[in-house]
Amino acid sequence: MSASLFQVTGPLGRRRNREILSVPNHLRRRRAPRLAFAPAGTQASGDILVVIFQRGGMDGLSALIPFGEGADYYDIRPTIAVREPGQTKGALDIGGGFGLHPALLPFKNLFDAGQLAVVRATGCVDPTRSHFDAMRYMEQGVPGDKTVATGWLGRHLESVPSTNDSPVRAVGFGSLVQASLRGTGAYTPLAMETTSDFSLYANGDYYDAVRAELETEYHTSSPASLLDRQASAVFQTMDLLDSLNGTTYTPENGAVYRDDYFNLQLQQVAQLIKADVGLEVACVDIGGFDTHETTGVLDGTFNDLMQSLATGIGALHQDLGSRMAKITIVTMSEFGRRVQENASKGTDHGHGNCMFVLGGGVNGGSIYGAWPGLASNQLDDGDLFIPAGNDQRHVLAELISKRLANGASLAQVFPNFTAAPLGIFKT
Amino acid sequence: MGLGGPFARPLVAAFATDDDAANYHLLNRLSYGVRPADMARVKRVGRAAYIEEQLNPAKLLRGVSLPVSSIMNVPRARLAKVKNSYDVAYRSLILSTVNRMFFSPAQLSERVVEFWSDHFNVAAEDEPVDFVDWQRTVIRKYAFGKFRDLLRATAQHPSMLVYLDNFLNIAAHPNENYARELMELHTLGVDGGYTEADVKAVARAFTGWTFDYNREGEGFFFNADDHDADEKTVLGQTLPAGRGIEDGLDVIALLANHSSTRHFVCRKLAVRFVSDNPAATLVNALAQVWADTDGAIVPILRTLFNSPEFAAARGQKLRRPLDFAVGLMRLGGVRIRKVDDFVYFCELLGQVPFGWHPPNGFPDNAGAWANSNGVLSRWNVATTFLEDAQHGSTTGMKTAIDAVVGQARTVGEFVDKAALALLAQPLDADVRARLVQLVAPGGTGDTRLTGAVRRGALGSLAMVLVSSPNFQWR
Repeated sequence: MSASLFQVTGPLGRRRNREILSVPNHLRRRRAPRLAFAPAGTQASGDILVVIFQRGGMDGLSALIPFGEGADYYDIRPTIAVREPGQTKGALDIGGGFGLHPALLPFKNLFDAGQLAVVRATGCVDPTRSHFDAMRYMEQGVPGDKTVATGWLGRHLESVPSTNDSPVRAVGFGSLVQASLRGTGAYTPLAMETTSDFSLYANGDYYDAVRAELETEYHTSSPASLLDRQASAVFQTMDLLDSLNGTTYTPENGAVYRDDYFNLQLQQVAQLIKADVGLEVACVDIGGFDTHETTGVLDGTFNDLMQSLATGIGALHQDLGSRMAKITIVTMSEFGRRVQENASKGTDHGHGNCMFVLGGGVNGGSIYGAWPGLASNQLDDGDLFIPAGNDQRHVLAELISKRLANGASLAQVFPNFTAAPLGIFKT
Repeated sequence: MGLGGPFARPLVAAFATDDDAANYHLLNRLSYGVRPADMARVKRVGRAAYIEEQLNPAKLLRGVSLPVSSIMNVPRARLAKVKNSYDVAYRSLILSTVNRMFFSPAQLSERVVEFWSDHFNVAAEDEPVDFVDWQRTVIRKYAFGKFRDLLRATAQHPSMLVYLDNFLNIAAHPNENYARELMELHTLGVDGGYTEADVKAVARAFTGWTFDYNREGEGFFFNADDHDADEKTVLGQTLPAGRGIEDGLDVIALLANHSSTRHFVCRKLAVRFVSDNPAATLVNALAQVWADTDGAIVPILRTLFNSPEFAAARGQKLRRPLDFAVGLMRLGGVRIRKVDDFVYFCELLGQVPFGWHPPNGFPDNAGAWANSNGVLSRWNVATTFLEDAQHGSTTGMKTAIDAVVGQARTVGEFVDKAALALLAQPLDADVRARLVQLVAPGGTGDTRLTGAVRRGALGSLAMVLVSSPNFQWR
């Protein structure tokens, strides 16, 4: 058994039903009655953005199968290649010699309906094969520079003209805030595990005094330090979520999520969107993609991840229904994996990958990006090459410009980069 | 704006003398939580002597019995045969580790063990039986020794061989995972001057390094049949053809001796014990001690804790979630009744001991841990550990906070004693006044403390004290 980076062993997923904190009534937390938050000004005029980061380096060549490459694909992946469309457990044909992994059937359906676009041979152009550097460069949106302290989403949120001062304007799901959300301090991204658990637990008889003392000590009305800002965000968000607490979430439009941690977090996203409380950007991670050994393309780890990914995102899309007209969902991973399989029926770190983009503002049903090919002389040190025109930032810059109403700030969001749209998005 | 530790705004609490503050700072950094007895000891012997005491854990532990499960000392082969060995090993590991952090007089030793556990990260829940052996025979054995010995021990232990896939690394199909992380994370650092060619060569050097529990002297096993004995060049050095285990041993020596390694590791030590952005002067001084002592940890730590940079860094480190939990346990007399419940609370806080899956180890800077979820979960766990755990609820924790605070006749005395127990320093006058009101609304510091009022308020008072910014920054 090898290390699986960022395993999907969400502990809360295991223990959700456990009544650890069952205490006598007089000690139960008391939620002070407060008005539900009402966003003060107008929201940003752009889409709500959901960014899904696949941690560990997703094997793009097993998600978007280049069966048209023939021997260049099948000969160097003798055990882990996915068969051609039409064969048992074969790829789902989306044209041009490309197919989707069989577990990505929900994506195929969305593709056929014009709601989903595929970007191929894309990613972060820095040559690093280190998870930590690659994630850092991708999330900060500036490859190769170790002096950058902010993320591309943080810079977007701090530059787009907006009066949205909702505490849940940008939410990173999980216990550590995604680096892409980091800003200069002008706004505070929220880290949250679940909406229903986001409340202060204190002895009911002393709740008001405890809360007041904490608010005083952390200067929540005029936060000055890093910790002050977090504490302030906590109390604002608690008040805002008060109206959502205690209600179990029911998906709409017949959407069925899978019972796993990633899908749970997507339901949190749906809940926040529907509550109309000012959510603008949500970041969700799905881990476990570092398949160095026994990829399990069709009946193991990778297959399970594809199921979780497609079921979840497909359900989210269905659940949100007509709201999807003003929502964009995008997937990314720090790098792809080596074309040639290794001795352990897995793959080592690679380079070029694929992205999935969904939403009402997407010109779906097409595959974007030049395809460099898999012949050995077309590869980048054994890995899928990323042509300059496929730099992931072209995709994100077009998204920011056409869907997030912030084209004026591209130089700030992606410094030293000249964006050229691939035509993925509608204006 | 900056991070702003306790000194950015009026303090919740403050020491009367600078000497007390310096003593507290030292204790706060080399221990998990500062108790009145610790303060008394440092006051008596002085900081330099206290540092020396802590640099000699064997002496501190002589004749001391700690609540550590005997499971921690069972040889691996026998432990693997115990019924439910996975659960037994994992639970004993968590409980023993936390109990050591709580009870051990050799507090610095525990902090250093934690440092190396992070630096040579292995996730315990993959193979906890092996991990118990890893902690005992690798991390704890070499924590206060020489880096080169620790490095070699990590390279040869099955826990690391499995975690970073080196047991799959064979001549026919090399696996680069370990080679890369060995240089990027354990020694040189990502900017330490190695290339992708070096990664490939190092991978080849470690081919055949595997383990076999079925052999005599089970554990590490060098399989010559799987070793790539061709010539290799690593960091400009040629490893001649036709050799065996020497290739890997030479790489380890090469990396341990490298100047990038000592700077990379010394900087991490400075980040752990001094501040998130340690001065280059300090890192260079530590690296010089390393060069002079062939990487001996004790002299490096001696220099670190006696340095002016250390003295100037009061309040600049944010307690990580586990630091927060263990700190509040040590100070509030909180014990674990059910390990599973404790692990659940660690999950809520965002840090389960040995529970970080990527090989870079738990982050060690304030920016990584200071987020809304982290802040809220600390407050909620504090309530659970200090309030619920008094009342025999189903939280799986128990607390002696009542005894820790001790007798008090008045509300004011009660508040003062709680502050001394948990923050080791007197409260700011305004804060004290507010907490008096929290305990006894409408009363004053001189109001007599009744049993009912004490029982009612104790948990909330203690919770608010450990939830304060003063306790988050150290």
